[in-house]
Parts: sequence; structure tokens; C-alpha cells
Amino acid sequence: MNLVRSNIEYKVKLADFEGPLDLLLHLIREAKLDIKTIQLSMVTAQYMSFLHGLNDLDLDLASEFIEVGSTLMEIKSKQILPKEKNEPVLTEEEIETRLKAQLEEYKLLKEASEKLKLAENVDRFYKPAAQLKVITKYTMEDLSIEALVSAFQKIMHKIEQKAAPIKEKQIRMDRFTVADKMEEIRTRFRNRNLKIPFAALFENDFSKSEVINTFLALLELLKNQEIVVAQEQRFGEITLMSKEFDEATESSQTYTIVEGILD
Amino acid sequence: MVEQIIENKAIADKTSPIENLVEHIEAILFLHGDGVEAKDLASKLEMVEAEIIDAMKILQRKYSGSCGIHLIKYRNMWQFSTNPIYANRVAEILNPIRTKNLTKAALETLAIIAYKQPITRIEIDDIRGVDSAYGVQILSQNNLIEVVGKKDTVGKPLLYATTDEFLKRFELESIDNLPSYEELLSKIKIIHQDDELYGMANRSGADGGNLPNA
Repeated sequence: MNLVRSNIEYKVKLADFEGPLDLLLHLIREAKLDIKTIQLSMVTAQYMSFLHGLNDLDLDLASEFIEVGSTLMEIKSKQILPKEKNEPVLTEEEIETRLKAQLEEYKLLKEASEKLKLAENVDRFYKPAAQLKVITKYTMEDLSIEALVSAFQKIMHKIEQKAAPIKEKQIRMDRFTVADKMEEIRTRFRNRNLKIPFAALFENDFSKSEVINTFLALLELLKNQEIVVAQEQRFGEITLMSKEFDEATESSQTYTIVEGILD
Repeated sequence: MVEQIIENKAIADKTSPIENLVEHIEAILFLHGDGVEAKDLASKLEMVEAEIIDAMKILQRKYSGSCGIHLIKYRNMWQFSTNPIYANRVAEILNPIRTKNLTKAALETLAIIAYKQPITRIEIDDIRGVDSAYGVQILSQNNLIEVVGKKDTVGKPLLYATTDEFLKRFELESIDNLPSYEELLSKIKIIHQDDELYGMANRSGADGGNLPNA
């Protein structure tokens, strides 16, 4: 079957696809083939000509496409080259099987998402909850600002003292602005009626700036009265809760503190 | 006039328990606005949950079809909503905040979370083959997903799951009602069985090999 169609001008653009897997599925479907039986090398040519045909290359979008493209090339090239004995890395069969498995799962979930789309209904309106109860306001009577600052200082001290981690880690872009951290903290409380210990906001591998931003986020949320803090005993644990926290119906979910951050 | 009012009140007082209960629940649902849990209501009214649910079902028959108000059920909660077919006119007059439909990317991300919950962002990325941070953010802001814990692996990544809001928006009574839920999960399981065959512990190639990340 002749599948080389590099003459055809691809009018579709990168943005039409949700990702390289989406594009691959499209090509496989166009070739009227099945994921299970296809040899991916059959669509490699189209995939690559698609990439070449792009006029402007949005690097962020394209990088994932290029990665899959290179995998396809690898599969194809290994098919052509003579097989080495005792190959330590995965054979091209295994790589292909892996990619196909990925494609199959993605296809299943993509189809599921299309079904969900049909079910989506944004035309129902709801009456907001009635304000029937007296809202108790927690005051900061038992908690001094000094206690809060002192707890923060302890964490900063720990961070500074810690030796550099020996484990290899992914280096993430520092996207922890104060606003991001505020959203992260909000999410933990969203629709969930529970208390969180102060220390649970911080992780072992937080950088200094992340700790600071987290603390600033906490202060912002306190200022906006979105959350409240309480400290049952002097020098005791500080807990946070959303302003709508209801003692009577406290969620039974507990929150674990990463060990070592605060002794 | 007065005689009519007295007569009506007499009827109300004399009606059999179950009819009376239905009207009471109707009033409670209206005033409460937000979802009402049958079990919670049962304990407050000192009744059996099954009786409350029976009453709810009667109300559901009343508030259905072309009625302006619908009674919906999601998870174990019951709530009045407006009938979607009247949405446009209602919106013209009362101007409620209207939600927009989700984009394809957000829907894909949501479907993955819905079927595979709880799941981390990296796992979502692996399935979609693209970075899903933006999708996760949008879904989170729309309260369709929430953090339900952390995975006990390096970095302690956040685990996401769908919310009640998700059930409401997609007219689902529970996660089990997702289209082809059982079927899909078992198909995915079969796909991953090959992973064990090849001795691959996880997708990201940590066990050696040039596995694609996308």
C-alpha cells in the first residue's frame, strides 16, 4: 500500500491537534488502519512531512511533536538497521509497542472526553446557599503574630541548614508566585471542611523563595479573611481553616506533615 | 375566604405523614438552595433515610419534564436547579453568571482525571502526550477538580479527583455513571498488562530505555 503522500499540502495546523498523539491518531485514521495492526513506520513519513510543512514553529507547542517524531524515526531506523546482539536498551519492537499502548489509552480517553462533551450542561442555574446560620468569627486572641513569625523563622532556619539534596531531581521553573501559592492553599480548602497544620504548607524540598512566597500567600489570605488561624496552646501547633469551617462537621481527612521540616 | 383558608389548613394538618413530609422537604430544598444530603436530612427529621429518598423521588417526578424547576441528584445530594431549556430567557432577565463550555484540551484533561482518579499532573501529561498544567489550572478554578492528597513518591505530587460540581455539570449521579466506566477501565488495564510483559515499571523510562515522554 502506497502511503507516501508528501505531495499533499497540509492545510491543517499544529493547533488543530491536541498534541502529537492526537496527530498520530489522525494519520492512522486517515490511512484507514488500526492502532493494533499498524506499523508506525507507515505513518512516519506523513508525520515528518507535516512537521516540515509548518511555516512558523511555535517552540513550546512543537517540542512535544518533535519528541514523538524522533521516537518514530528511532523505531523506523531500528527496523532498517541490522539487529545487534545483547542490545541493552529497549528494542524497537518494545518502543513501538509502548507508543502504541500510549496511543490506545489516549484514544480511549479522548473518545470518552467527546462523550462527556455531549453530556455537558451549563444551562442549569442554582440558588446560592441561604445564609441561615450565624457565622462565628474566630479571633486571633490566642495567637500572637509573634508566634506566627517565630514558626516561620524556624522553617527558614531549617531550610538554610539543610545540606544540598544528593538525589537527582527535575528542575522546575519557579512558578510559585504569591498568587499561585494563594490558589494552591485555597484549593486545599475548597469545599472541604478541615483543619490543616501550619507546617503542612511547607515541603522538605522547598527553596527559600518558595517558603517565603508560601508564607506571604498565607498572610494575604489571612488579610482577606479567607482563612483563619488558631493556636490551642502557647507554643502549640498552629492550625489553619477556611472561614466557613464548621467544627461540628469537620472532615475526617487528616493531613500529613512531611517529616523533618519542623521538629 | 376565611373559611377556605381554615379548610386548607385543616387539610394540611390532616394529611397522611408521607404527603406532609414531601411538602416539608420541598420547602427545605427551596430555602437551603445548596445540595441537601438525604442522610443528613433524615437524622435531623428523625426519620429513616429510605423514607426521605422516597419523598425525594416523588418530588423528582413533580420537578421534571417541562417544569421550570428540576430536582437533580448527584452523589448523595439533592438540589433544585432551573430547567435548562429556559436558560436563555432566564439569563436575559436575571443575568446570572454564565459558565462557558470547556475547551477540547480541558475536556480531555478532565476525562482523564474522571476515569483515572486520583491521578497526578505528570501522569495526566504522560497520557495526553502534552503539558497539562493549564488544563489542570482551568479545571481547578472552575471547581471541577480538586486536590485529594499526595502520591507517596518523589516530590509528593498532588493527586487530583473530580468534584460534585463536575457531577452536576455533566448530569452524572456518580462517577460510576460515566459513559462505559467499567468497560473503559478494564480496557485500560489490558493495555497496561503489556507493561509487565516487557518489565517496564513506569512510563517515564526510569527503568532504562528510550521511552518517549510524549
